[in-house]
Amino acid sequence: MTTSQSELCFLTIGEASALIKDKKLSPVELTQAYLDRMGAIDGKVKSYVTPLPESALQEARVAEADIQKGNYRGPLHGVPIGLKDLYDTKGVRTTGQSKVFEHRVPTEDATVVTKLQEAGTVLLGKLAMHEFALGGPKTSLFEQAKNPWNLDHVTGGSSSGSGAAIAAGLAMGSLGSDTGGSIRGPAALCGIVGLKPTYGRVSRYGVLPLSWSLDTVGPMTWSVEDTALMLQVIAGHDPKDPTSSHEPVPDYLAALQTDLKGVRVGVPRHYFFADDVGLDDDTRNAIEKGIQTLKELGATVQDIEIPSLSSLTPANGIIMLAEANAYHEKNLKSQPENFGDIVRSRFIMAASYTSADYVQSQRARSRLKREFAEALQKVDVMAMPVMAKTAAALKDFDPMGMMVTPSLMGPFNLTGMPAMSVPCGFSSTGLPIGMQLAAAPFNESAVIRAGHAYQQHARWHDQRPSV
Amino acid sequence: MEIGSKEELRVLLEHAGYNVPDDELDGMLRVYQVTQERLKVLHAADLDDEEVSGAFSPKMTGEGWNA
Repeated sequence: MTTSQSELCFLTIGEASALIKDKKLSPVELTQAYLDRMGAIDGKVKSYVTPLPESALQEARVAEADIQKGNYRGPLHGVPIGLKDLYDTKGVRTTGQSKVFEHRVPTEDATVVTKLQEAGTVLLGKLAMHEFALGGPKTSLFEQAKNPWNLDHVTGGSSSGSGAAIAAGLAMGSLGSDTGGSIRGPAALCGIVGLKPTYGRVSRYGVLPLSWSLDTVGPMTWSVEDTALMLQVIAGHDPKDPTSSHEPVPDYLAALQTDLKGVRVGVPRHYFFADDVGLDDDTRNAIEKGIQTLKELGATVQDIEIPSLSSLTPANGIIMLAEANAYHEKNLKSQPENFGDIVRSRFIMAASYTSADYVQSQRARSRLKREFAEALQKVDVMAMPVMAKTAAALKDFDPMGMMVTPSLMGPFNLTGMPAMSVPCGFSSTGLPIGMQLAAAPFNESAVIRAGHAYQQHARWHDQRPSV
Repeated sequence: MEIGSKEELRVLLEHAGYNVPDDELDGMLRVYQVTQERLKVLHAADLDDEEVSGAFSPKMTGEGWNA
């Protein structure tokens, strides 16, 4: 492929949309560049499970014609994206990367898919994921995505294809889903930005569930600005989703400031840096430097305490698996062989939980919410690691490992708070590290402000993997 | 029956309608035991009068309830 095609695929949404708006970049040319790159390198990365080259080009032609006629719809018009394969797409197979749904073709689009279509995006295809948004890199259907920074390493999950595609320049933006870290984890391990919005901020209608009371839908992009652009389009109330919020949607682009004067940053060090988390040295150093940079940008930094974090965070796993068992029970009993080993054993094990376990876990959420609310009286944003270590080698992946170490992302699913992973450096072996930023419910703007200011200063996103 | 044992897990799962092969039970045991330890801590927590977080709403909203 030519250098110019490669350069097109490494533009951010912000950069490309400015060119498209000024008619200096054709959505057809841009889409073709992505399709060519997919043809050239996705055989190695394995980020797409269902590429849609013909419909993508057709959508790009329509976008181009509309823009030429003066009907420019906004910053996502003509922008090529990919979708995790759990978003219902009318007439296009949506599998959750499981044999159970191998032939499932939805008759309706998910609400967020409709919103992205109305914004004029071009759908390049459906992206790989961990089976039913839970399992590890070995699933019952399709090959698993590889980490573009080192193809022998995992991407993290469950939004594995989304992380890999954005990092490899195979999509400009994507939607992941996050129930215990499935957006932020792969974002951190693939060196991109991933935002888990507030629970209820974005409609879940038409998205295959893992856990109704924890699932969130959010953007995965190369830059924080791009995340703000995508969130602006997908956020808002949806009458089809009973848990969708009526909270007004602010102007997220207004949060794209380059300093942090007056921002109070809290670090819950007692939990996120504790010995049992097992932070590796590279990660610890990168996060500490990241926090120091927030200070240099004008923020004040203080340690904060969330007293029950350690004892109550396991509630996330209990609720997630109990609800997943309820959703999948019929198929687990009628066709267990069609689930991958990891997913089947975790979903079935949840049948051992008692009703008291589930209720106590939902009460634990209330307590944690109260404790976070108290901490948020003192600070505007929290900063901490996303993952304890960089991406494991595929051959070393331990499917049970993540189940027995403290979760660094689960607290924000339990409390419903918005949380983002933003790249904050690389390990000595060249693998990306992510810093997690969180804020009060429905204050995505605070997270976007801190993430954008940090990213513009640190500029880790200037580095791209060579695939 | 030993708390957190393979036998306990088997009985619980059979009660729930799952007949899990022995080798699969072996694979599940480590996570089951860790989960049981964490559940003990969770149940021992003093949550006072905290209610469940997912509160029921009687408001009839959504498709089909527009009238």
